[in-house]
Amino acid sequence: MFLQRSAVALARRAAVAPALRRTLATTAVRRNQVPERKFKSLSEVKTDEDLIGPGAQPGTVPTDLEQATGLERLEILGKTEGVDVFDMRPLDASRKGTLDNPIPVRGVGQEQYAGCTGYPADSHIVVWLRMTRDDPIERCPECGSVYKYNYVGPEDDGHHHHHHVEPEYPEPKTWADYLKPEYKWA
Amino acid sequence: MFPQRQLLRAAPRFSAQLRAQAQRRLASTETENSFVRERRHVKEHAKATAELWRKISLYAVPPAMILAGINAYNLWNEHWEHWSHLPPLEERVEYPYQNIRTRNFPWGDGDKTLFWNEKVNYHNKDKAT
Amino acid sequence: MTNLIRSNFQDHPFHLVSPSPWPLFTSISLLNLATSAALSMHNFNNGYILTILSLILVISSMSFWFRDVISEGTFLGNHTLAVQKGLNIGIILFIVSEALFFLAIFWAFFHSAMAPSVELGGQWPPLGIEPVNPFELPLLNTVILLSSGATITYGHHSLIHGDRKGALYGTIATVLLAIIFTVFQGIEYNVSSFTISDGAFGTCFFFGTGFHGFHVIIGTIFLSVALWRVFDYHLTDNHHVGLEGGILYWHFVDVVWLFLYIAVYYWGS
Repeated sequence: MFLQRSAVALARRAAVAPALRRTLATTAVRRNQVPERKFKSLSEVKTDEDLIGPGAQPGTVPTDLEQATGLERLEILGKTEGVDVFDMRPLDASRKGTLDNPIPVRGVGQEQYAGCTGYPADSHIVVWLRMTRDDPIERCPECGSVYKYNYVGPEDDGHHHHHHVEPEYPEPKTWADYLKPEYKWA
Repeated sequence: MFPQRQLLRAAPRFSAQLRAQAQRRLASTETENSFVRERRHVKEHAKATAELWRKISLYAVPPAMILAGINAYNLWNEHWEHWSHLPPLEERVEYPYQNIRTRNFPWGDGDKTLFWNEKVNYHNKDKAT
Repeated sequence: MTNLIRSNFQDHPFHLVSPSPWPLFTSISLLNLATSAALSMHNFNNGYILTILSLILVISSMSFWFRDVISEGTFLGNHTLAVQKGLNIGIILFIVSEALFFLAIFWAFFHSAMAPSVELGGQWPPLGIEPVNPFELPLLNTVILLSSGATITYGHHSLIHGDRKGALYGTIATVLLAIIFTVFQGIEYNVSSFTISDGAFGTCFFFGTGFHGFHVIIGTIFLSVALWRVFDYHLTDNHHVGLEGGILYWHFVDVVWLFLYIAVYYWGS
């Protein structure tokens, strides 16, 4: 909400009749004296509200660093500093994951899906595997590759009390529950 | 707010990128990554091409348009000169494939097409041919 | 930036659009337009009033929808590089479909023109029809369209270079040339001695040039919106998908005209 409002305000400010001021002969001199307007770098960005630029100088074409907002700004800031903020690369497919050495799957949510196409990659159709924070290990039923959810999000929900999300319905029991727990991924 | 443990938990790939960035900054301020370099090249390249197309727009477009305009003006006059020597519209032969009407047009008197011009268009309703 | 802060923002670059009424509005308006246009063409009473109302509805739906897209792209920052790529591919696919539409029109023209039927006297143009002189206004119009291609390139490259004045001048010149073209086509239509009802010749001529003129008007509006967005500081030197789409569309219209000029105006007369 705030971002929206400030973005509109920014555009308004940028759009106010700029041309007149620049007709003076001293313009070039004056322009050189204007200090470079500051904007937050990637490391200073904390929330949505930081993702807003200073806007273009009147009479110039805005650059992405001056004017991009929101997610686009995050991406541009990242690219400018050499950080791939979206990390769209596929999962590690240089080996088959094992229980001892599973393929890590990075995520920030309570649960995370991963699509397995076997080893080498694309050797079978995509099988979607669901991992949660409580039950992070999953094994592909097609090729047996093991994946492990690597949670990197906030430690708690910010209210300083640990709270465990109860599943809507209990996990169905498998034969592993009666024999050996490790048979679950056998 | 950010406990030490939390920071240490940073995933290897992501934090490796951040580390690499820090090192690069320390090593040299002149090194720019491929993204910035490409954008700068595009911007610099556009200077020359914009200048080229500005020249074409200013020095090639108006003469071409004036020449084509003079030519069109002369041919326009010739055309109407020629037209004035043709027999009147009513006396020209109207063939069966001309002025085909299967039903009325929904506008006007139902007989005139859009862009109908009394000076050059004529519908002979009892054509002989 | 730590992973903790990174988790404040969307994890992927794609734009999951929020619920919007405009797709539904547009669909209903288009259904109205098609239905009422069919009614008008069959002389139903007051059908044309419905057609005009539907046209207003379609244009309003499109305006509101594009207004939202502009807000999302310029003010909310939803158009990441991946989203921009998707929009560009959408424009290209749209233009490909338009090209196939014109292919059908040219097919109809060549079908009649390359083997004129006995009813047309077996010749093209048929007897009694005086075709437009291709070296008069059509040649001037060709020059105008080619010139507008040059001026829009000037405007585009100036924008990329960061030259605001050049971008504005180039785009304004292009829009003016586009309007002049449309005016000349109007004059041409007005003084044409044959009409759309004059057999296959008139039909094919006005079918092709009429739809081209219609696309010129759409392209003019496309570029005018881009011009307004340059003027209002919406477009940056790297992010100007709307202007690029308009330019691509304009070049397409330009190429269609060259084919029309060679085939219909020159060869077909």
